[in-house]
Amino acid sequence: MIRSDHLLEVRNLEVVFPTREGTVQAVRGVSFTVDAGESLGVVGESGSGKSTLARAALGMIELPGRIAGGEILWRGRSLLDKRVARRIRGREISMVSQDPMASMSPILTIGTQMTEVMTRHLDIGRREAFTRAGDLLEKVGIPDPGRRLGQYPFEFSGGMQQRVVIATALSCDPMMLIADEPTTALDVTTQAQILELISSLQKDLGLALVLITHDLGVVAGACDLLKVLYAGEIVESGTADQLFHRPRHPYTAALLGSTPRLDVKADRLMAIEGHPPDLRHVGGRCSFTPRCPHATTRCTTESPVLQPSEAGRAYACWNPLGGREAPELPTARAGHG
Amino acid sequence: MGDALLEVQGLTVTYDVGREGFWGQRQTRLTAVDDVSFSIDRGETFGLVGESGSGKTTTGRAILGKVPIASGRVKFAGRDITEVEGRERRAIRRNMQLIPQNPYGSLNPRMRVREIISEPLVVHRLFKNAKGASERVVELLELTGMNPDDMHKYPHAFSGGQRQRIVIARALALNPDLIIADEPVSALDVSIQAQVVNLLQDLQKRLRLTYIFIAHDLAVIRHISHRIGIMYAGKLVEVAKGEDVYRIPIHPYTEALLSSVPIPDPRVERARAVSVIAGEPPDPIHPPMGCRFHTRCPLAEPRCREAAPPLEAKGPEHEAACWVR
Repeated sequence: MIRSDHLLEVRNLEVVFPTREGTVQAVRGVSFTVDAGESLGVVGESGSGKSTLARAALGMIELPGRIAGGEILWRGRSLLDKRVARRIRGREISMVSQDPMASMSPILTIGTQMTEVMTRHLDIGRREAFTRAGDLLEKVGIPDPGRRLGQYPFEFSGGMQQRVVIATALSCDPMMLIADEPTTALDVTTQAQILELISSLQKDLGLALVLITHDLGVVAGACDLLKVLYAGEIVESGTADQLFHRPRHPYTAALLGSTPRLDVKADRLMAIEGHPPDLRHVGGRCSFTPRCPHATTRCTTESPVLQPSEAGRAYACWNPLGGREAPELPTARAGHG
Repeated sequence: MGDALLEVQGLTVTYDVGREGFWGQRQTRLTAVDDVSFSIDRGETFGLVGESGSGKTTTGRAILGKVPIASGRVKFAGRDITEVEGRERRAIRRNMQLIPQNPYGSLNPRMRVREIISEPLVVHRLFKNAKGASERVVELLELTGMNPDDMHKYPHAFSGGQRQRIVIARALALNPDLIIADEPVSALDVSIQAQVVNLLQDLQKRLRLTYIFIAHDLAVIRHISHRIGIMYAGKLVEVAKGEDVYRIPIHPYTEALLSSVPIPDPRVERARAVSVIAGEPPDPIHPPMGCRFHTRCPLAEPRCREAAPPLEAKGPEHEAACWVR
């Protein structure tokens, strides 16, 4: 037992994937905590390490990937211990991923799959688990649960499948739910239904929620706290209001500027020139430097560390933005990228 | 309406999807696009938006002649392309090009960029081979913000955003008037998506292109489109200028769709009343009678179950298909 006052505490986590062409540093020195009942959004683009982070937190990094350093503590116990992780995963921490079909077996009925989770983790019999499964389906808004329990996943639409996955995730009364792009594969009206469901369950059950997404719109409504990931590092963290309205890291600001909004018509999007770095060759400088309009020589020679600043926020930048209103970035030329 | 480049009238596309009945005596038909009409002016961007299965992609493919049309007309620059064949058809087809969604699946991994971009030029016999078209390829690469040296490389050397630029260069090779872009930025990360959207807008200004921009992302559609058409279950339910669709939506489905889109701003999100619509789009093989949306519509009346409302003018340059509004 290591002392930790948090539900989940990640300390200096390093995850690497060795490949023939070099070692990919997917997660580089990430530290953060999640407390009971908190809703945390993790935002990043492809390759930012957000999904690897989620898998690491559940002890699900598979070979050739490995955790090269750091510690993950769940209520003081190390999740790097596979036996501990197996007992906690699905019971105290649950996960909802992007593709609901990938989390279900196509050849077993929904009822069988849901009861299996419960009989494995909880001290209850099959009959009781089956009744509970019906109640859970009802709770996540699936009509006629009795009949639905006897059906196979393919008989459900994408939105309904995701509801089943959520019901299964909640079946052992977890304390934390990790949702990795839970609505990315869904249509927008279905997305709205699922997001509302996740938010209301989180509040009703007092769950800690870690919502991982590339979509700034999704976290704006659902999360109180945010972390922005870039090239395997947290570049900025704070409350949703702080990051959306007074971003201090140029990447956060650029991400906001390049996202079109339904409610505001911009003449031109502020594209971020270039593309994310090759994760086999990073470190020794700020990874955002080649794309940053504010980069100086210091940014190219010294890697900034995530430093706490005012009111619980932190950023890793040598030249942070003013921090008052969302500053105007020079419109980037449609560059080579 | 000014100078209409493309007119679509009563476009209907059906797919045969198997047989029904005890002996399989009845052909099962799926109506992917049902009686869709709209027109697009030269130099305009027409956004076509809808959820999966709404028929937006099939509409684009039918205009390009990639799927057979069951009924209806498609007029390009005044000529009905459903009637012409052979040389004339090819000449029209040269003027309309497709930008597909997936920049990974749409480039042949065994061809160099020069061959890829020059392929339409060679197919239409403007050049004998890829080598002969080098000058034009360089021009196209520069136009799309790529490096001329890239023409000797293979697609695997490029990122998603760069591949989409190559796809755009190929679509522009024949100097088309109309570009049908089917989810051109959906597979890209938001920072790269912004680059490609900006590029498409710049190209439109420079080359006076006309776009049909098909997407499911309403924020992107709103950003790029002059006029927007909203599709639901094979039907065009509303057509209006971009700002009007967002400011004064008429069709209840449009309203529901707009309200479902999360806004990247926590203050707006907290203040916003999200009216989540229950249910899912109908089964396309057995769609409901009457208005296709009546099964989910909060305003549905008895007549909505009986007959499908026509798309009709409800305001200046604003059409909608709804009995109630």
